[in-house]
Amino acid sequence: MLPEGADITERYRAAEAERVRLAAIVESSEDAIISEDVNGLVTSWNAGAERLYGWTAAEMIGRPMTVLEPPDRPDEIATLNARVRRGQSVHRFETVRLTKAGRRVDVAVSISPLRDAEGKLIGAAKIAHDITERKRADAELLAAVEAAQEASRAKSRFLANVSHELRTPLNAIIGYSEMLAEEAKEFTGGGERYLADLQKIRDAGRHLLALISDVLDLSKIEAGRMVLQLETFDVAEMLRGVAGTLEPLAARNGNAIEIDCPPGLGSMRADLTKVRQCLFNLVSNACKFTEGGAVRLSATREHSAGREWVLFRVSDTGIGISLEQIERLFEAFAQAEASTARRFGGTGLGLTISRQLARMMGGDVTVDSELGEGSTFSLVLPAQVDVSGQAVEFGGNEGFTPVVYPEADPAARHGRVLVIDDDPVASELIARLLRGEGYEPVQAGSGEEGLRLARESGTPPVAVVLDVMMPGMDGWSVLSAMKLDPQLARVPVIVTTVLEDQDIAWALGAAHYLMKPVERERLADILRKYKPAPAPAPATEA
Amino acid sequence: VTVEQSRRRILIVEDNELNRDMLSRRLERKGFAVLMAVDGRSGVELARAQQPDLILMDMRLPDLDGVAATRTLKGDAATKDIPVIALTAHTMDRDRDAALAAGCDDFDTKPVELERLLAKIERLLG
Repeated sequence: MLPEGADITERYRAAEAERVRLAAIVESSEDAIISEDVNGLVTSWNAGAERLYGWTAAEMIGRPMTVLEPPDRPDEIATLNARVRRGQSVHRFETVRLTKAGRRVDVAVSISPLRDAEGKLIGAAKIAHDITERKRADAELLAAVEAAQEASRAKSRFLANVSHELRTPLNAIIGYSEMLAEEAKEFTGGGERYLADLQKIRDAGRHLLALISDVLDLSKIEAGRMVLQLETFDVAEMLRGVAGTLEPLAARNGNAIEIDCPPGLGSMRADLTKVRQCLFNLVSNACKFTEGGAVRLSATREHSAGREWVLFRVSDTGIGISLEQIERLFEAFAQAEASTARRFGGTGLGLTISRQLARMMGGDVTVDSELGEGSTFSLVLPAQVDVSGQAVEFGGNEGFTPVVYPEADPAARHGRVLVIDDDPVASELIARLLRGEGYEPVQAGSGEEGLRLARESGTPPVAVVLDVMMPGMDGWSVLSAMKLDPQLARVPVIVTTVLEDQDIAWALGAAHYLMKPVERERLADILRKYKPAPAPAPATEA
Repeated sequence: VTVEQSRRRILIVEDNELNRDMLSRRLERKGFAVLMAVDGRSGVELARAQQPDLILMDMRLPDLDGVAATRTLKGDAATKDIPVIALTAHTMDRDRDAALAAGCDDFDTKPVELERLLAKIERLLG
């Protein structure tokens, strides 16, 4: 800042020095920095622009930038320029440009209107950043994620098949050993000599069979193919059934099972078989690790987080678990001590499966234990399991770990959502997000295709996620066409864009408006508003 | 009436040779006469021709599966009164539901636990 009345030459020199300094900054930039006049003709072109696009300043100044526009994105530059003339800016618009050599380059473009001292629009400043590397990394990451998911699915399919194949010969081993044991019992001429060994073969076979069943269960859960079959049942009756079945197992170690369920427990709605499976696992664990003691099975109803819960506790007077062991307890194949598996039998998968099943139903399995002091395992479940409902945490002061469910119940299909976006990476990201929320994404790569899919697929989609900037038929045209079509007029459209076009979106009848990149939570929140009534869970297991 | 004729006859329809062998030997030792078929079609033919007292029907069978075979038997006046127990693989709830829908009188899971299966057989034979 110069003092009032400074010499005009001095002012000029200072301004010139400032101009040179700014020009040097612009020239030193890695990014392309370009200015245009109100007619869209280039007025400055830095070294970064030369490097990025291959054209020199001498070649570009005075010309429009449309020479950079690839043929599959017609009128994109004109559309962007029109926005800038309306005084709007564009933040990191990701697109493709052509270099002088005709090579395609991925760029993120930010555009700001340029105004003179009076505020009159005199042109635009454009900064383009080369995002080729990032795009490649995105694509590689996406490919890697997909490959990993496919590998995981393949693994689950393989396990399911192998488990089935293993079962058949194993059934023969168990069956023949049982048969021979029956015959040995009846054969008085010394047959009993073989009885103990035959029983060992049978027990080992049964153990292996249980292991295979558990591995199959786990692979089903991991593959999202475990299906809940909800029914309403009496809690106390179910508990007595579980205790009755496990009575012989408890007796083997000289344990007694005590049931403690207050009157008025009433009924709950959940997957009966899976609740039983969880309790079997917890109670049989307790029986295994306790000798000549008591295993106490209790149930209570609790209120927490605005919901009603049923809390089952399985307490024993057994050997207990140390804090370090507790941390590994729920990991697959991690019995607290490797040697305990040999000592106590079991597959080491029971707790992992129980916790997974409980979480599928919106609950959890937790443990409270001290070495030598016995253990208490708690299974908490919503009194009314609702597969479509949002996860609610069972909180309170009981020491329960809060339960969060990143994946919505895979069985709950909330319907099809049409994703219209010309950028395959953006489209795939939204599709994955939708799958995670329990929707079935249908992807269209252009406005025309999107409209066709929306019209042709019988029932209209639950919602449409629509990109604005697309070559050919753009998002606005798709939106207008949908609103004119009586079949589609009521389908909520969520517009996604990098531009600040909220007014146009509202005017054309968009239901929601999201800035790109789309945030998972925002999209999920919006979709929840349009979620249809929950469909009954399919009655079959995969 | 000879002793042989008075023994109650069970038809096992099962494609797995080992399962067939085990089940037939165990049932014979319990005093049943056992007939065997290796697929659904021959199972239905044998049931019509031999009129067994009870049928143990595997659900996964070549040619005509257990569900279709049971439906055929239950739709035929000559065989509809023969009780059928479906045998299903351990975790196949879907098979079990399909078996009951096809008209099976009861079901049991494989691997067979003989005592449990015998109880079901006794109940149906009265």
